[in-house]
Amino acid sequence: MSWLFGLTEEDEDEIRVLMDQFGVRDFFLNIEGFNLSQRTRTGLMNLQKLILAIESHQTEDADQREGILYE
Amino acid sequence: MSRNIRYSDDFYKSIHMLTGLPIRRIQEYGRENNPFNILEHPMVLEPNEKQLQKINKLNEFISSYNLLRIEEEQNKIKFSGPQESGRYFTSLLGGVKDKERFIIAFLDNNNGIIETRTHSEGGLGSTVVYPREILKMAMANDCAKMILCHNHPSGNLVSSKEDKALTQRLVDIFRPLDIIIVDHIIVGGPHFISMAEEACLPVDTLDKANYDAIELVDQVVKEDLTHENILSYGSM
Repeated sequence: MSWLFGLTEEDEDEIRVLMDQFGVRDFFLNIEGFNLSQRTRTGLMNLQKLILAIESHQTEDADQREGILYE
Repeated sequence: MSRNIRYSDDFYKSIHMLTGLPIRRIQEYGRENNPFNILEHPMVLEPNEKQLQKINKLNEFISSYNLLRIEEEQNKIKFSGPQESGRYFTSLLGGVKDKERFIIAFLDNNNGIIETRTHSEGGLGSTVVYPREILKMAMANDCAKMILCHNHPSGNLVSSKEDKALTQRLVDIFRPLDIIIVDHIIVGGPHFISMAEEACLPVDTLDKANYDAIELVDQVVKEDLTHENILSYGSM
């Protein structure tokens, strides 16, 4: 993610540890709770909004499907 | 078909911040089209080379995120008892000393986490909990169980009368829906207590469901903010 908002190596290491600990989804859902620099937090919050929008888009797609099962 | 109702300005702003595309063009496009086309078919907004590079990277990120999520679904974090959940929530809240925060883990029948959400964030010594919002999240997750957690910025590791009353209010709402509150963890600095472990977790309903907002107060901070303590520099 460093290309998105110029993360430092320290930031990247910290994010890696947190993602391992919480999983990628819970990491993004709880960014507000982590001790990260303001710049990193702002960048990650933008990704969080994007992820939430994508997930609601995916859910909507799934809701419109017939719900068949493979045999 | 107009789709702008579903996508907030915050969402458009996040695409703008991440790609460098002008926000007005994103908003105008999203008003009449599926805004995800901007990422899936980037040429619709004629990005410059740098913007296109960012969009491509963003698409790579989204693919990786989706794959990781699927992988995680298959290896969910499970809580077998208060020690595990306490350690998990302490990692989330242990460093938070400037505000009180209320978090909920929504669990499936096997105590696997479906989702963990920060529900509310207040000031130094209090936060407000909105039962209706928690109910909405629980329904969206289709959860069977929940673990509540909040921090005491003072580091105080005692569950107060208010903590128990709040838990009881939520039990009154969720028990009739067959959603069990299995624990309420209170984090103070690097330590935690579990109301289940301390045998003070309400289990059965006492009253009818009440959806009014509940203020959760860190008693130690509240007492330190009394007039006399401020004048004598209290213990803060």
